[in-house]
Amino acid sequence: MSARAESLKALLRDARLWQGDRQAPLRAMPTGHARLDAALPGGGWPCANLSEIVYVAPGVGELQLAMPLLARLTQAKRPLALIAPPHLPYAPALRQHGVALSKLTVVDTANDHDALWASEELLRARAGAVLLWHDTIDTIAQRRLQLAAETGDGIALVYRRLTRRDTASVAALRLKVEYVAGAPRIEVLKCRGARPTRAYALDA
Amino acid sequence: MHEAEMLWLCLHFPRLPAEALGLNDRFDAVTDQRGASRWLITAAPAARIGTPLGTALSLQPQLRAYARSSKAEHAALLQLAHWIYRYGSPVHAEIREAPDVGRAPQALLWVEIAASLRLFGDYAALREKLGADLVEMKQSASFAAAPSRAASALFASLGKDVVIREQVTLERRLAPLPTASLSWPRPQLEALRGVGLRRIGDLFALPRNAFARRFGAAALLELDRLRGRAAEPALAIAPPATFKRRFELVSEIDHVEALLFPLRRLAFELQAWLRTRDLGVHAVRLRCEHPQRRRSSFTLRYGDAHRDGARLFETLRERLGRAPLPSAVRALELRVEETAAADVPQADLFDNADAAGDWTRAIERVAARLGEHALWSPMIVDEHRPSRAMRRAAANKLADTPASADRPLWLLRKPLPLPALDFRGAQQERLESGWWDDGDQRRDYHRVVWQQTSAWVFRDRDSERWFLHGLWA
Repeated sequence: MSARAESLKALLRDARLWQGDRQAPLRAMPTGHARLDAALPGGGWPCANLSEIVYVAPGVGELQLAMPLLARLTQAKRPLALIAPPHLPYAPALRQHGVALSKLTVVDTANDHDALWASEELLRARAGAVLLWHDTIDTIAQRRLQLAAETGDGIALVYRRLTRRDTASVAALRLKVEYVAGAPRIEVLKCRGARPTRAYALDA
Repeated sequence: MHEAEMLWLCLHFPRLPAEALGLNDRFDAVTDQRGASRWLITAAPAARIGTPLGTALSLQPQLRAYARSSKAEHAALLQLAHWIYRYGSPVHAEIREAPDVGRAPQALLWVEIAASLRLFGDYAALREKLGADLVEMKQSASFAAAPSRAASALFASLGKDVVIREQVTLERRLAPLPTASLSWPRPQLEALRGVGLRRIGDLFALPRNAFARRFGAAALLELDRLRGRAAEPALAIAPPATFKRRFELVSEIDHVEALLFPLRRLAFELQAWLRTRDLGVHAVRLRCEHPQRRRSSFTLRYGDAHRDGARLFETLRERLGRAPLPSAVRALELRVEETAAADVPQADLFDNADAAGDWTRAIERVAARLGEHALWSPMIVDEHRPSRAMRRAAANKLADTPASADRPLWLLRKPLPLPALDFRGAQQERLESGWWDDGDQRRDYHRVVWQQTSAWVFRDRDSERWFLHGLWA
């Protein structure tokens, strides 16, 4: 195959390319992980949308995945909220990832109901992003978050522990994170507007 | 005469007897009583002011009648007096009791605006601002401005929204008003009518000594005050030093919705007080009084010192709605806990993300419902010991400081003991300090792979035990 045909094929494989027979391009914000961005329609986290990160256990690299987004948004002075995180987000590490701490609010909640309420409330108040930890979120709650994300033009990011039975999701983007051979590995489970592709090791 | 140079803005509050009791339904009416006579002093559909209660009930079966509380009216009027300070000074207030059965008391408030007028631009601008304020506070009022307090009160209580600046004009404008509109006792008014004196102008036209002989020197003095020819001595109200406002409810209330009206009033009264004193509020305390002398209360804190009545109201409502009321409420008391010079809203050149304050308000709503301690922002403190290198700063209120070595994104709330494990050999960092306070720690930290995660573990050098403390998430 000629070099030109090869490069055309590579170009067509790139999900960022909008092709006429597909749906309109998604507005997105780069994940900050180059190979992952190339695999995603719009080239990153879909804006004003709900995305989901399915992870095996805390500490597999699930938070790192969102760090470039958090850094970008907080530096652009957009407020962010982490809601019901399983552990304390550690300030020195957040800072090392370039997150402007003053724009970050952590909300501890007593139950999932409060956590969902607070997420919606803050998304509607134009949060840059709201990261919510909720293992058993149902599709009704997902739709409400989706709506709140659209209203406030922010990114809703739900962290969900991987269970044996993969539950239903209406998220525009679903990523799975696990720790393989000493590094986080990302798998695109679902992305609206493109076919899910293979897995990637997370760039350092 | 210096009185003539003054311009008094008078506000008349026809529904104050109802408002002071927290009543806002149109079928609620307040009554006054003298001997066996009881009559309406606020209007209701089909029942005018002055209607005897029995008649009113037959005209309007849905009517709910409440006896007036002079104490509550005075308290409410005092609060309004504190609010009106932002329009000028001095401020006077008076509740004129009804001279006869079947007439209503008049709640009146005056503020001298000649000096402050140019701050607003002109009277039209001041009037517009005043109207907007009244709408915002849901306060019904009529108002007028004139060189004498008596005249401004007369025009305001007649619902004539006028501004009269000069004494010469004043006399001319008063002349066509009916003598019946004077708040004089009925026998005196009837005596005027009996001799054909139907207009105030007719009184002005009478020889002074004849008038005094016929109707009394006091009546003449009142007439002179009306047209700005006699001094009107009265004690001005001083602005209050602290804000503590109690609102007694007419009946015991056991659901939050019914508290919203008094709550809104309290919030806007506080706003007025803050504006008068050019302050912002950092913390307020709301106390609910229940039967059997029981009380419940909470404090609300704000990220910035503000004086926004709507924001106060929203946050108080959110906080009250968080949990069902412990029992019925009899009274509310709002007080200021902490004030500061107000954060002047700056043109948001650098931080336009929250120009409308949406985020700050949402944060306050969340804090009001989940509790203040539920919200925090991670911040760095220059400290070696890992769990102290982060302080839980109240959300919305913190400053950044620089960071140091490689650290995990998750920190466990409490280090987790790891039984029978030995990670020695991995890269290590010794962290010790704190003997001078209670946090004496001597630990060797390692970054290891533990259960398919990237973990931050340490060995306590005293006990030789291993703990999980963080995760590179």
